[in-house]
Amino acid sequence: MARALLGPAAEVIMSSEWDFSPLTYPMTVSVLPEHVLIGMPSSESSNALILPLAGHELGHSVWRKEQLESKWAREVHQGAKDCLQLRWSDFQRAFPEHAAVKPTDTELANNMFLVHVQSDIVGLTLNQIEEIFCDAVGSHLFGPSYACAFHYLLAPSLGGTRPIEYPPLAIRATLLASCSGINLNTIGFPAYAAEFQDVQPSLAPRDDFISRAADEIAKKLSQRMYDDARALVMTKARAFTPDYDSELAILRMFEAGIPSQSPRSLADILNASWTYVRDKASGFDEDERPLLEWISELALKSIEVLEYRSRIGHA
Amino acid sequence: MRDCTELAKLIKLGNAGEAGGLSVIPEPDISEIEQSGEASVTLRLGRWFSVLRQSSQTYFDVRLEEVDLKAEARASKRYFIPFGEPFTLHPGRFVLASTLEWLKFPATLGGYIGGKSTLARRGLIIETAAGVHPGFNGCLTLELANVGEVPIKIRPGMKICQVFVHTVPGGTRNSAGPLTGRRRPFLGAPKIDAILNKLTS
Repeated sequence: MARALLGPAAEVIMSSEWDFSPLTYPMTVSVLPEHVLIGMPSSESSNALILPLAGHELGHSVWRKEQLESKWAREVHQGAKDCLQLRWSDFQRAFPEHAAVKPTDTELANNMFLVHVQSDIVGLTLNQIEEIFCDAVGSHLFGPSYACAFHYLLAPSLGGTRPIEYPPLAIRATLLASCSGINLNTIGFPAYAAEFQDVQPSLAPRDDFISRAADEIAKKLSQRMYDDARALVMTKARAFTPDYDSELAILRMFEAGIPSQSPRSLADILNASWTYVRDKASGFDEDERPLLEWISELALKSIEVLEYRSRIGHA
Repeated sequence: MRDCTELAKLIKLGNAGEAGGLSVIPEPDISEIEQSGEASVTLRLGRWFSVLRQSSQTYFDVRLEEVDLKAEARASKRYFIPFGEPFTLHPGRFVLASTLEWLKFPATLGGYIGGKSTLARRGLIIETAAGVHPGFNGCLTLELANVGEVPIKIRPGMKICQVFVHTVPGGTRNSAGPLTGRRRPFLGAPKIDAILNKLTS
């Protein structure tokens, strides 16, 4: 999957040893350009069902490989300029010492303070749209299992206040529901976004203005992030995207208590795993064995079978 | 004991998720089994190994309490060896491994694990608790020991052992629940022996 998206030399190193939630190290680009380093939360190290979130982390490497920041920078900068002009009264309240300035094109281009504010908005917005793009990559690569893993790990919140470099979780959830093409109703989430709650940070007026501006611009661009991600995934990694018939075939094997003997893709295995959890959750006897432990064994063995068959040329 | 033709049929049935079949996943070469004339299915070595560390455990007492078993599990070290890399087993050393294949036996079948003669002649002992009971589900844990004179490099994916399959006439009950499956070598706990407890208390 990583090689399809990033090139034949790509190597993925995934570990649960690091004590923070999924993150691709920034050092990936400068020190080990062909390596994707993914840290998964150590508390979930035995849970295979959160693997779709690695698709989000892979998205960060795709973002850099495709130089998408450069692609979107001009438009984001224009968005920051437009936002300042449209929300000038908010700006004046946030920065009363600069209230006398007029938001003309000349001032926006030459007034050092306004340039600095725009630059901060652009930086935050680029961070946010990168996160949205990564959600889109994860959801297009893994389908419903991405939405399930996202909910399992992140709902209702990350704890603490929302980092302003990320879009609010409720917005990310709303976008997953509306832009990813995943039918969340059929997988047990009739009100997906409502299950996420962000604690807004208490910010100084300046930071609050910049944060709100970035939120607004990022939200406007979000559908296009999903469109971009979908085009990239479908062009480069279509073979890895979910297939419903294949998922059902794997699910039948899981219901028989055995791993899949001929899985087609990682996404199909993980989608079947989440479907199994959903179907069995109510009547499952956890005294015998925890449901997540059992399904993780079947999923991980199926993933090993996928690798085995791929190596001997039968996948 | 089931012959090669019957074994092939059982595996096809089991791998389709049908009741009464013998699941072996990844599926071995069915035509090779049919043509082999042998009464066993050859299994491959998996990628997980578990070693009990002498430095962390002074002894194993067969009358262990649960808390001691947890300590024993902590004293073992697990290794993952990728395909293409060897695991070197030195003379006199012992390691738990597992089969690459996941097996599921129906209530009507049982089996025995045997070594491969070519490996045994070089001192590699594969399995000493060889019985596979009806209803077993998971990767088999192998007890590997090098009783030979020179180190042996074993490699994940190599043919490591064979399972002979027997009918259990009238078999209706499984030895274990349906969710016993494990991918990796499993140390397990000795079953509580009430008689031993009385004798030694």
